[in-house]
Amino acid sequence: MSLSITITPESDHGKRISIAGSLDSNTAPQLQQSINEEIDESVDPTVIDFKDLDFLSSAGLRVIFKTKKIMDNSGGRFLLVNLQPQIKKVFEIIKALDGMHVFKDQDEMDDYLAAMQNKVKEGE
Amino acid sequence: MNSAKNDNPSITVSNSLSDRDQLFAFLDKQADRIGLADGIYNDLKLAIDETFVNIISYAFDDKISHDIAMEFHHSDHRIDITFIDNGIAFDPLNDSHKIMDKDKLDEGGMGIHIIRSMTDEQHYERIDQRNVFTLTKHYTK
Repeated sequence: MSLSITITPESDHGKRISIAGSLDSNTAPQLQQSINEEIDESVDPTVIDFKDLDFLSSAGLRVIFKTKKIMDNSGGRFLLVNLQPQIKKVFEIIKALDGMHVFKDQDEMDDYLAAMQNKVKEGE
Repeated sequence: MNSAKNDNPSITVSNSLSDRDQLFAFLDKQADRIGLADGIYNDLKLAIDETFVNIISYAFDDKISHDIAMEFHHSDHRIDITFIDNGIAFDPLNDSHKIMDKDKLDEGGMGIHIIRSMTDEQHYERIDQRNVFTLTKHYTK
Protein backbone atom coordinates (compact mmCIF):
# COMPACT_ATOMS: atom_id res chain seq x y z
CA MET A 1 0.00 0.00 0.00
CA SER A 2 1.57 3.25 -1.11
CA LEU A 3 1.06 6.96 -0.66
CA SER A 4 0.95 9.62 -3.30
CA ILE A 5 1.27 13.27 -2.37
CA THR A 6 0.27 16.24 -4.49
CA ILE A 7 0.98 19.80 -3.38
CA THR A 8 -0.95 22.69 -4.91
CA PRO A 9 -1.29 26.35 -4.01
CA GLU A 10 -4.23 27.24 -1.78
CA SER A 11 -5.43 30.83 -1.87
CA ASP A 12 -2.75 33.50 -1.52
CA HIS A 13 -0.32 32.09 0.97
CA GLY A 14 -1.45 28.53 1.53
CA LYS A 15 -0.81 25.02 0.32
CA ARG A 16 -3.05 22.03 -0.22
CA ILE A 17 -1.51 18.65 0.45
CA SER A 18 -3.59 15.97 -1.23
CA ILE A 19 -2.79 12.50 0.00
CA ALA A 20 -3.95 9.32 -1.69
CA GLY A 21 -3.62 5.67 -0.78
CA SER A 22 -2.33 4.70 2.64
CA LEU A 23 -0.75 6.84 5.37
CA ASP A 24 0.87 4.36 7.75
CA SER A 25 4.22 3.33 9.25
CA ASN A 26 5.63 2.62 5.79
CA THR A 27 4.56 5.87 4.17
CA ALA A 28 4.47 8.37 7.05
CA PRO A 29 8.15 9.29 6.56
CA GLN A 30 7.36 10.26 2.98
CA LEU A 31 4.65 12.68 4.12
CA GLN A 32 6.88 14.01 6.87
CA GLN A 33 9.54 14.81 4.30
CA SER A 34 7.04 16.70 2.16
CA ILE A 35 5.84 18.64 5.16
CA ASN A 36 9.44 19.49 6.10
CA GLU A 37 10.06 20.77 2.58
CA GLU A 38 6.80 22.62 2.01
CA ILE A 39 5.34 23.86 5.27
CA ASP A 40 6.74 26.63 7.38
CA GLU A 41 5.33 29.52 9.35
CA SER A 42 4.70 31.53 6.18
CA VAL A 43 2.14 29.04 4.87
CA ASP A 44 -1.47 29.88 5.65
CA PRO A 45 -3.63 27.89 5.36
CA THR A 46 -2.29 24.37 5.24
CA VAL A 47 -5.03 22.17 3.88
CA ILE A 48 -4.79 18.40 3.96
CA ASP A 49 -7.13 16.83 1.46
CA PHE A 50 -8.01 13.24 2.37
CA LYS A 51 -10.34 12.55 -0.54
CA ASP A 52 -8.38 9.61 -1.90
CA LEU A 53 -6.89 8.37 1.35
CA ASP A 54 -8.16 4.90 2.22
CA PHE A 55 -6.12 4.01 5.27
CA LEU A 56 -4.68 5.96 8.19
CA SER A 57 -2.80 4.54 11.17
CA SER A 58 -1.25 6.11 14.25
CA ALA A 59 2.04 6.70 12.44
CA GLY A 60 0.18 8.88 9.98
CA LEU A 61 -1.73 10.66 12.71
CA ARG A 62 1.56 11.54 14.34
CA VAL A 63 2.72 13.39 11.20
CA ILE A 64 -0.59 15.21 11.04
CA PHE A 65 -0.34 16.33 14.66
CA LYS A 66 3.24 17.47 14.14
CA THR A 67 2.01 19.60 11.26
CA LYS A 68 -0.80 20.95 13.41
CA LYS A 69 1.77 21.98 15.97
CA ILE A 70 3.71 23.97 13.38
CA MET A 71 0.54 25.72 12.30
CA ASP A 72 -0.56 26.40 15.87
CA ASN A 73 2.83 27.94 16.60
CA SER A 74 2.72 30.17 13.55
CA GLY A 75 -0.95 31.08 13.95
CA GLY A 76 -1.74 29.75 10.50
CA ARG A 77 -4.90 27.81 9.75
CA PHE A 78 -4.78 24.03 9.55
CA LEU A 79 -7.71 22.52 7.70
CA LEU A 80 -8.58 18.89 7.03
CA VAL A 81 -11.08 18.16 4.28
CA ASN A 82 -12.80 15.23 2.54
CA LEU A 83 -12.21 12.56 5.17
CA GLN A 84 -13.74 9.19 4.29
CA PRO A 85 -15.78 7.67 7.14
CA GLN A 86 -13.15 5.13 8.22
CA ILE A 87 -10.53 7.89 8.31
CA LYS A 88 -12.70 10.23 10.34
CA LYS A 89 -13.35 7.38 12.74
CA VAL A 90 -9.64 7.13 13.54
CA PHE A 91 -9.52 10.81 14.54
CA GLU A 92 -12.66 10.39 16.59
CA ILE A 93 -11.16 7.47 18.47
CA ILE A 94 -8.28 9.67 19.53
CA LYS A 95 -10.88 12.31 20.36
CA ALA A 96 -8.69 14.60 18.42
CA LEU A 97 -11.31 16.37 16.41
CA ASP A 98 -11.59 19.00 19.12
CA GLY A 99 -9.37 21.84 18.09
CA MET A 100 -9.08 20.55 14.55
CA HIS A 101 -10.88 22.15 11.64
CA VAL A 102 -12.38 19.19 9.83
CA PHE A 103 -14.71 19.63 6.88
CA LYS A 104 -16.71 16.90 5.25
CA ASP A 105 -16.24 18.34 1.80
CA GLN A 106 -14.83 21.26 -0.12
CA ASP A 107 -18.10 23.25 -0.04
CA GLU A 108 -18.16 23.20 3.73
CA MET A 109 -14.55 24.36 3.86
CA ASP A 110 -15.22 27.15 1.35
CA ASP A 111 -18.16 28.37 3.41
CA TYR A 112 -16.01 28.44 6.54
CA LEU A 113 -13.20 30.34 4.81
CA ALA A 114 -15.67 32.83 3.33
CA ALA A 115 -17.15 33.43 6.76
CA MET A 116 -13.68 33.98 8.20
CA GLN A 117 -12.91 36.39 5.37
CA ASN A 118 -16.07 38.35 6.11
CA LYS A 119 -15.20 38.56 9.77
CA VAL A 120 -11.80 39.96 8.88
CA LYS A 121 -13.39 42.55 6.57
CA GLU A 122 -15.92 43.56 9.20
CA GLY A 123 -13.13 44.10 11.63
CA GLU A 124 -11.28 46.45 9.30
CA MET B 1 4.28 -23.50 15.51
CA ASN B 2 1.54 -25.42 17.24
CA SER B 3 -1.77 -23.85 18.05
CA ALA B 4 -4.90 -25.18 19.67
CA LYS B 5 -6.86 -24.06 16.63
CA ASN B 6 -4.54 -25.36 13.92
CA ASP B 7 -7.27 -25.79 11.35
CA ASN B 8 -7.73 -22.04 11.05
CA PRO B 9 -6.37 -20.13 8.09
CA SER B 10 -3.09 -18.57 8.99
CA ILE B 11 -0.16 -16.75 7.48
CA THR B 12 3.43 -16.48 8.60
CA VAL B 13 5.48 -13.39 7.86
CA SER B 14 8.78 -12.07 9.10
CA ASN B 15 9.21 -9.30 11.64
CA SER B 16 9.68 -6.72 8.94
CA LEU B 17 7.51 -3.76 8.11
CA SER B 18 7.75 -4.68 4.45
CA ASP B 19 5.78 -7.83 5.22
CA ARG B 20 2.81 -5.90 6.53
CA ASP B 21 1.03 -5.87 3.19
CA GLN B 22 1.04 -9.67 3.18
CA LEU B 23 -1.08 -9.57 6.34
CA PHE B 24 -3.48 -7.21 4.59
CA ALA B 25 -3.69 -9.47 1.54
CA PHE B 26 -4.45 -12.38 3.85
CA LEU B 27 -7.14 -10.36 5.63
CA ASP B 28 -8.63 -9.38 2.26
CA LYS B 29 -8.87 -13.05 1.30
CA GLN B 30 -10.55 -14.05 4.57
CA ALA B 31 -12.89 -11.07 4.43
CA ASP B 32 -13.98 -12.03 0.91
CA ARG B 33 -14.38 -15.65 1.91
CA ILE B 34 -16.78 -14.90 4.75
CA GLY B 35 -18.41 -11.81 3.25
CA LEU B 36 -17.19 -9.45 5.91
CA ALA B 37 -18.85 -6.02 6.07
CA ASP B 38 -16.68 -3.03 5.25
CA GLY B 39 -16.91 -1.47 8.69
CA ILE B 40 -15.69 -4.59 10.48
CA TYR B 41 -13.02 -5.11 7.82
CA ASN B 42 -11.69 -1.57 8.22
CA ASP B 43 -11.58 -1.88 12.00
CA LEU B 44 -9.73 -5.18 11.88
CA LYS B 45 -7.30 -3.93 9.25
CA LEU B 46 -6.28 -1.03 11.43
CA ALA B 47 -6.04 -3.16 14.58
CA ILE B 48 -3.84 -5.64 12.71
CA ASP B 49 -1.58 -2.88 11.44
CA GLU B 50 -1.12 -1.28 14.85
CA THR B 51 -0.54 -4.65 16.52
CA PHE B 52 1.96 -5.81 13.93
CA VAL B 53 3.93 -2.56 14.11
CA ASN B 54 4.04 -2.84 17.89
CA ILE B 55 5.23 -6.44 17.80
CA ILE B 56 8.00 -5.84 15.30
CA SER B 57 9.09 -2.74 17.17
CA TYR B 58 9.31 -4.20 20.64
CA ALA B 59 9.09 -8.01 20.77
CA PHE B 60 12.55 -8.68 19.40
CA ASP B 61 15.84 -7.56 20.84
CA ASP B 62 18.14 -8.80 18.10
CA LYS B 63 18.63 -8.08 14.43
CA ILE B 64 17.65 -11.55 13.25
CA SER B 65 14.62 -12.29 11.14
CA HIS B 66 11.82 -13.89 13.17
CA ASP B 67 8.54 -15.44 12.16
CA ILE B 68 5.25 -13.94 13.19
CA ALA B 69 2.14 -16.02 12.57
CA MET B 70 -1.34 -14.56 12.30
CA GLU B 71 -4.35 -16.87 12.56
CA PHE B 72 -7.89 -16.02 11.55
CA HIS B 73 -10.81 -17.71 13.25
CA HIS B 74 -14.41 -16.81 12.74
CA SER B 75 -17.80 -18.04 13.80
CA ASP B 76 -21.23 -16.56 13.31
CA HIS B 77 -20.75 -13.64 15.60
CA ARG B 78 -17.10 -13.19 16.24
CA ILE B 79 -13.71 -13.01 14.65
CA ASP B 80 -10.54 -13.86 16.53
CA ILE B 81 -7.19 -12.86 15.12
CA THR B 82 -4.20 -14.34 16.93
CA PHE B 83 -0.61 -13.24 16.60
CA ILE B 84 2.08 -15.71 17.62
CA ASP B 85 5.77 -14.92 17.84
CA ASN B 86 8.81 -16.24 19.64
CA GLY B 87 10.15 -12.90 20.79
CA ILE B 88 10.82 -11.68 24.29
CA ALA B 89 7.80 -11.53 26.56
CA PHE B 90 5.78 -8.69 25.10
CA ASP B 91 2.16 -7.77 25.59
CA PRO B 92 1.26 -5.13 22.99
CA LEU B 93 -1.27 -3.57 25.31
CA ASN B 94 1.02 -3.14 28.24
CA ASP B 95 3.75 -1.42 26.36
CA SER B 96 5.51 1.03 28.59
CA HIS B 97 7.09 2.65 25.55
CA LYS B 98 3.88 4.24 24.57
CA ILE B 99 1.66 6.36 26.70
CA MET B 100 -0.75 8.61 24.94
CA ASP B 101 -0.67 12.19 26.09
CA LYS B 102 -3.60 14.07 24.61
CA ASP B 103 -1.61 17.28 24.53
CA LYS B 104 1.34 15.68 22.82
CA LEU B 105 -0.21 13.55 20.12
CA ASP B 106 2.64 14.54 17.83
CA GLU B 107 4.83 12.34 20.03
CA GLY B 108 2.78 9.20 19.43
CA GLY B 109 1.31 6.67 21.84
CA MET B 110 -1.95 6.29 19.97
CA GLY B 111 -1.52 2.74 18.71
CA ILE B 112 -2.69 0.97 21.85
CA HIS B 113 -5.72 3.20 22.16
CA ILE B 114 -6.61 2.43 18.56
CA ILE B 115 -6.23 -1.34 19.05
CA ARG B 116 -8.53 -1.24 22.08
CA SER B 117 -11.08 0.89 20.27
CA MET B 118 -11.19 -1.15 17.08
CA THR B 119 -11.71 -4.49 18.82
CA ASP B 120 -13.96 -5.76 21.57
CA GLU B 121 -11.54 -7.95 23.47
CA GLN B 122 -7.80 -8.34 23.60
CA HIS B 123 -6.00 -11.22 25.30
CA TYR B 124 -2.34 -11.86 25.84
CA GLU B 125 -0.68 -15.07 27.01
CA ARG B 126 2.86 -16.29 27.18
CA ILE B 127 2.87 -19.97 26.16
CA ASP B 128 5.99 -22.08 25.66
CA GLN B 129 8.29 -19.11 25.17
CA ARG B 130 5.88 -17.55 22.70
CA ASN B 131 3.74 -14.46 22.78
CA VAL B 132 0.16 -15.28 21.89
CA PHE B 133 -1.97 -12.17 21.42
CA THR B 134 -5.59 -12.42 20.33
CA LEU B 135 -7.89 -9.67 19.12
CA THR B 136 -11.62 -10.38 19.14
CA LYS B 137 -14.31 -8.53 17.24
CA HIS B 138 -17.97 -9.33 17.81
CA TYR B 139 -20.45 -8.62 15.09
CA THR B 140 -23.98 -9.37 13.99
CA LYS B 141 -24.77 -10.31 10.43
